[in-house]
Amino acid sequence: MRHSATPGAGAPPVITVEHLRKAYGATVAVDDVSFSVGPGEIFGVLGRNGAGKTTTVECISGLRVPDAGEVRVLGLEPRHDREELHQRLGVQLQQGALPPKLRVGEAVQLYASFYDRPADAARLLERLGLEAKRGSYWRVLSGGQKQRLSIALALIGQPEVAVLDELTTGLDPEARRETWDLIEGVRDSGVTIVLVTHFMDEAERLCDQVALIDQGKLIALGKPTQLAAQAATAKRVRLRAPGQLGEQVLRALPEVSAVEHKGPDIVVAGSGNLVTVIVLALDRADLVAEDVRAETRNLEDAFLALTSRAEQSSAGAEAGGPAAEPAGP
Amino acid sequence: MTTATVRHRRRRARAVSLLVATEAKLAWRLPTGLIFGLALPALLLVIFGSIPALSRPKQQFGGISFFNLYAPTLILLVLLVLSLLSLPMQLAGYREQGVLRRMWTTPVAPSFLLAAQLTLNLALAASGIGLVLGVGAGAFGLLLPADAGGFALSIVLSVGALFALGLCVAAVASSTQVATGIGLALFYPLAFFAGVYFPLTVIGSSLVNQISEALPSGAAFDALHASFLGQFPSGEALGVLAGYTVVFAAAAVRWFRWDVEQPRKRHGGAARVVTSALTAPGAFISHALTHTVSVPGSPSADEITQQLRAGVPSRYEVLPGRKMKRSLLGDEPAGPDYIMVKGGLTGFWRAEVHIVRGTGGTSLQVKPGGDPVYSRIGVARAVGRTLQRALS
Repeated sequence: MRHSATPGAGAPPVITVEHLRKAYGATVAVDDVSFSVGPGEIFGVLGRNGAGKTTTVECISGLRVPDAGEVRVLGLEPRHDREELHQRLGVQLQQGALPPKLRVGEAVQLYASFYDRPADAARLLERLGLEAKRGSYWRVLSGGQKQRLSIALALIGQPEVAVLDELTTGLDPEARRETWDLIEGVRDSGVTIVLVTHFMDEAERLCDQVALIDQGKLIALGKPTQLAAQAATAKRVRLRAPGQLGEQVLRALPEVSAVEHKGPDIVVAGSGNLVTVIVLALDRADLVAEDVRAETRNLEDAFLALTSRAEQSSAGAEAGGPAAEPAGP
Repeated sequence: MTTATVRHRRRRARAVSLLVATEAKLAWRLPTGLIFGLALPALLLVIFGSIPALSRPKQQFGGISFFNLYAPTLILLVLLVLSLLSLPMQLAGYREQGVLRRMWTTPVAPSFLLAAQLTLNLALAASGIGLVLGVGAGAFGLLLPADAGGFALSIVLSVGALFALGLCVAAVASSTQVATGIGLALFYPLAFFAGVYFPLTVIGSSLVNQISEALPSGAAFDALHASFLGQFPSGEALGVLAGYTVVFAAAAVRWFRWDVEQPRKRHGGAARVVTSALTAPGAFISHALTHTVSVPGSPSADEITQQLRAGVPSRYEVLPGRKMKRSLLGDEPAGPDYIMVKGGLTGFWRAEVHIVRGTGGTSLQVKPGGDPVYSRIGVARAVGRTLQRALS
């Protein structure tokens, strides 16, 4: 239920990241990133490959020491309070294998022994659809099964917060959808989730809040729908190409700013009540508008728009132009 | 003590015992360490023990038999395999696969995994030593160390020096293959100075003896040998072992990377020189063990690849267009003249086929890699036979 997605709105945040900065040699991986995650949220960290997402969550998980800035998780400092934090924080890493000849059941049992209050291993495996694989070696598991076992190991300690890094990368569409259902189930049981992904559809489907990171910088922060709306600079309508005459008619309209060919269709960009304007104009020219669809803006468009905007503004800044606009709403 | 700390300690104890049990299971399922650390010395023990001539006391060995002279060597063989090969291969593999990283994200630090691996290998070492002494004395009339205290002290310091050295290898190696390369480069010469190939006393060269006394395996041999003769080990030998223990342990602590927050410096100049120096003996052995299969006509690389895939056991992986890098470490793309064959689960034992076309025929050079000695009698032999059968 999306409306109950942020039950803890107003409650103190579970994770706060302030002015986080991390460089590897001369390469700045994360530069002045700040955000906070409320209890019970699914918080998405989005960006292209190499944008700095993993470094950000590694700092949250205590695997890396920030060069500057402050990270607090459940009121704890990840490096200093490592042991106490990891009792309450589950992490699923992008690269984290198991010994090839360790069996699924053994892995879960072993990791359960690390925690004060472990979850019931059998129930967890059943929930993740791995009960039949209990006796299988790690190395014979499929990609999806390895991913699910990784999630199981992240959840075995009954954490209050779970960090899941790129967990659907490499999965087939069905396995992805199953994983999404699983994550929603975990959130519904009261766990706050930080989800790192470069899939926009995944973030749009799951996340209550998303942070968009590009080249180490936070370029937008907010609800997925807000971000999509924020990027909606122009309306676009797609329709079956009405022929050369029809295109001339459309180009001549004051509301239309551009006409573009896409296969058998054209995409008309412009403003105002674009669908009505197009249909009426074509009708006046004795042409029929076929297959007219208004294209909705989604997070992917927002992502592309926002990242290209960030590139332009940084190019502008280099050329002595105006400074980049402040990020986020 | 509060209930929280009691619970905490119980959990730790349980986690540690489960970790050790799990590592033991894994060692049983992939028994490289067991085979080379225990079975090989046991086999040598039985062979040498069964030859009556070797059990007769000899004046040249200080009044003891060759078999008794060889007992410290067998004990050191157990320690060398477990400390320089088994332990570093496991730990470097865990780093490479991300097992250490994953451990870091749990309340139990990855140092527990290191401790578990160390415990397991020390337990194996203890059973190996027990096996040599017990079976040797029980079945083949081995005379046990007359100075038990000196023997115990020598064992403790030998274990300290060699396992600290092994931890150094585990500390710097980024993968199983690198760990095995460095481990073997240390193993062969140290095994020589422990008298594995022949007793060093037969050389009688003072230079060799001086080198031997300065090396951990030579000093360990001297100390153990003395205790078998009923003498307390010399201060020099014990001092050398203690010194190596301290230095290597400190270096291992200093260099060990958990693969969390490590500045990813790739091998710089000095490290590269050291790596090349360490891998040079292996490269030389590889080269020396290369053999050639001559075939008529000029079969294409594809054809040879197909024949290899059909002919070698399925656990071998045939990789056309790749060759072994520096004989020991990893592999690299090489073009159509090269085909690499990797063996087993780790892919460590390997062989490379180099296709050399000449007038009137083609010669296929089969070069063993990884551990070239075992590769030569394993994967390289299988490759050579397959080529001979299929193409000649």
